[in-house]
Amino acid sequence: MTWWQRLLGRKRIEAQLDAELSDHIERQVADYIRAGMSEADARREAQLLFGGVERMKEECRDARPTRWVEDTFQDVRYALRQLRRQAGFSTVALLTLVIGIAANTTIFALVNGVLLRPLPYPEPDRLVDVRLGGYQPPAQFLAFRERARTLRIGAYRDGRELTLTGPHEPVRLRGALATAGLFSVLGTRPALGRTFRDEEVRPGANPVVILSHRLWRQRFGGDADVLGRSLVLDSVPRLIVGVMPAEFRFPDSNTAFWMPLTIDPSDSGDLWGINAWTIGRLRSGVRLEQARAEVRAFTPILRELFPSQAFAPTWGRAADVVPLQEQLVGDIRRTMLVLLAAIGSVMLIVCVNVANLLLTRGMARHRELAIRGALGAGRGRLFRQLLVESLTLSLLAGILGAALAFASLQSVVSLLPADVPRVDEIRMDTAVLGYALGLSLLTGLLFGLLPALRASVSSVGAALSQAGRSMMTGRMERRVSDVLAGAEYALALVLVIGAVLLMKSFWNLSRVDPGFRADRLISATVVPSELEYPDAQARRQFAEQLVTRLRQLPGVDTAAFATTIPFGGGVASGVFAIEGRPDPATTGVWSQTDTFAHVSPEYLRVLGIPLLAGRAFTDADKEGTQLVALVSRSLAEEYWGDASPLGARIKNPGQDPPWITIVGVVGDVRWINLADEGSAVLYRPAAQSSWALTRVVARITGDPALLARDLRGIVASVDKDAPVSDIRTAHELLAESVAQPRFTATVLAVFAAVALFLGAIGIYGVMAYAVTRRTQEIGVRVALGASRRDVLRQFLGRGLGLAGAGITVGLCGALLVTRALSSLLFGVEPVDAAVFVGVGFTLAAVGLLASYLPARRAALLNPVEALRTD
Amino acid sequence: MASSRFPIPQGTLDMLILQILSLEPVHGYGIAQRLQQVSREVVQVNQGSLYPALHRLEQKGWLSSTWRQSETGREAKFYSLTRAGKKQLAVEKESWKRLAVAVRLIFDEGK
Repeated sequence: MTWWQRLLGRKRIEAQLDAELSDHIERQVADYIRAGMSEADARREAQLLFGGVERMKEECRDARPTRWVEDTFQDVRYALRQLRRQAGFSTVALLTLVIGIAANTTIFALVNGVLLRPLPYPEPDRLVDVRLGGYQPPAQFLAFRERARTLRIGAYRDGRELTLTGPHEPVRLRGALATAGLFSVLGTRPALGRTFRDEEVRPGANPVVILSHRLWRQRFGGDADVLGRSLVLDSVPRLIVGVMPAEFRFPDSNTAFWMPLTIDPSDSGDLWGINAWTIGRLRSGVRLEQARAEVRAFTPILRELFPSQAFAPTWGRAADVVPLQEQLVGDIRRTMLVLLAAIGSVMLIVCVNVANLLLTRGMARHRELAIRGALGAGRGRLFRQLLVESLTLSLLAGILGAALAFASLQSVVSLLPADVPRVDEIRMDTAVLGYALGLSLLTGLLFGLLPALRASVSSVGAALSQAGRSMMTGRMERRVSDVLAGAEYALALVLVIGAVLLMKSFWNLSRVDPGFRADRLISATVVPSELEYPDAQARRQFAEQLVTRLRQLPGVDTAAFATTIPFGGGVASGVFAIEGRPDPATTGVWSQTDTFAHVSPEYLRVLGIPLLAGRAFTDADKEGTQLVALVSRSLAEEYWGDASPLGARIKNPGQDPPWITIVGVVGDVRWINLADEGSAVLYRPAAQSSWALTRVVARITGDPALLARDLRGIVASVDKDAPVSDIRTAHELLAESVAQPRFTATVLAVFAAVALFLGAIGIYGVMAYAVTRRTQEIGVRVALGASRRDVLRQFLGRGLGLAGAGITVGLCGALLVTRALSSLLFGVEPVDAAVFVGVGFTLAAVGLLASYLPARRAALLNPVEALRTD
Repeated sequence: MASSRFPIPQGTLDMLILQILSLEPVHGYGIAQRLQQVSREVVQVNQGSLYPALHRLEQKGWLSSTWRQSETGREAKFYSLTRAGKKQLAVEKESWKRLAVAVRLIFDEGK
């Protein structure tokens, strides 16, 4: 009989065993009768001779190898019955466990999707991000591509915004430029059609485009016939040659299309002007270190190849090859891990609470277990039974918790800050379910081990005696309970400190002066269609017309337009050369800006950026007059030090003179990140620029929502084909920029609050049980003359001592642990004395409160009844 | 009825059961009776250890069992020796012989 036959046919086997043994007895009886005994006597003798039938059945059952499985099933059924019977305890324990497991599973799903899952490309561990040193000029890329033996590389430039026009409303899309090799490096095959051919990447080739899956569905309804049709981007019809599959989102999930990245080898501006990012795939058999060595060794080769470009001595020092996954998610890794550690700590606290609950409940079951022992259950069997009970509880909680996590995952994901990478890969897959299962098992073991050990070791005799019950309180048990409660309080303290530090940091961040006045400031992105406004002057006129009409609105104070606004995108970093200094065209060392900003004359006034020296732009600065520029203070400081930059002259790369004269210095504005110092900005008058002036900004007195509607109306009246997007107030933009620190601080605050609550409950529970257990003793003391205040003080002291121990240990722990947060903190030290002391006192107060209620109950005990208590 | 019992160690009981069954298939009660009769009433099995032993031996694969019509007309569980059981019996007989010789030598030494 195979083992599974045995499991399934249990009833039949039991019946057979029964039949076999009774058959034996019948035969014995028959023999006795034949020997002359009466039936009654014969039966009695036979039974006596045979011995205990039940015991023999047990021994026969023991001989079966599937015994432990059957026992376990029995234990599980018993455990479920117990849970149902003790509804109060079960509900509390189950609820805390379910919430704990659900929260942990959710956070792990986030961590899994963003950090752990391999990138959705073939063999993703062989993909790398290549930094060739310097700022990635395409010339370097081309040279390296020809010579690279360890890597195949491709380049891309992201953040390219174009307007899509057609039968639908015009819409602004973001896409990327890519070399032909990029797609083959990544390795994903297109869902439809093909990727770029080499000849399409050459300058002057027919314009082509590859669609993202989402754009294909949205714009063409998933029509398979889309190849060969064209898409009009910025008024240029482009032939659709391919569609990428849904999971292909490179470089990010906003990328709607890919166009060829053309590099004209004869154009020095193309070669050395603007960045392109480079990624690569290790060739088979090549290790990362080999590729890194090759990239690092390339710098001298580059110098040889371009002897007319004298590179600065630091060029190439930062050359490196980094796994692509690290590159994409590096920023958020620390935050994610902190969240995981925090929720793990909360889970630990939950376990400790449940363990304490079980320990106290275990004391009440001594009698039951002692009887079991007397009936023949071995220690191992008892231990196993109690452990199975805990595991049943935790696995049940695990199933419910996983279900809860599954149901709420999408809502949680929608709360994530917008700049978290790989959000679409967050889902409940087998790894997450496995984690939930493993966590439930581990939790069950953690909180079940101690009570099971304790209960199975108790001695039978003492437990069954009457006096046994109140004396049964093992000193060890009490000590363990105390240690557990103290430990979870310590853990809660660490969490609270971490949360307060992060909140303080976020508070600091949100109070940073951005350098401009953000009140009642509204901005939008408006792009005139290429067809109607083919050249720079026409587009400028469009913008001016728009702004003039805007100013006429009653709710608008002033308005302006530009290529970029702080925190509003349009950032174009770049380089320039300063007159009188070594020519960067030869040294390769350019002066850098964080962004260029081409602005209309009222721009500075609208944003409230102060003028520090010289003059601002006026209407007199226009095409044909002297070329002028303004610099931000940090830019002036960086390149001119204490000297005034007024009158100095600069020019852009690849541009022949005339030079541009600096006529003023303006206050610093934090343009991209509130945590950075002021950005190095170079301002140019819009009238002297040919760049796309896509940002409109206005200071309003009325309701932003009304203005949004009016704005669309005005734009439509000037040009019906121009899309209006990203209408936001400056405060909204600022809030978006700190979304991540806000998210982290909020989540951690919630975790810390839960942890503190549970910790307080832990102390309360231990104290309450102590009072219950020692009721008789208290009665004795009061009868012998102790006052109520003495009793109160005794128990309060005990509770405070417990909390105090936890706080002390927690503070030491926090000293070590908060260091891990330092990269997430702004304007706050990891060891902030005020925070530590404040939190310590707060938790002491909470501990006092938690012990007060049980202590008060003890003090108010009626001594007569207390003495009578069992 | 309960005469002087000769306590048998468990390992020996196993061996005796295998021996009894090497002659022909028997049911549990029959094994107990035969042990008693053949040993001339010396070996009386503690009935509490017989059935667990039978189940254990069946678990190990040395015995197999079927339910058959017995001489009383009722169905009974008959045990029989398997081929592996036969081998095991031979092994145990051999060990027993060597043990007996050794014990005899030690006793003779004392003389």
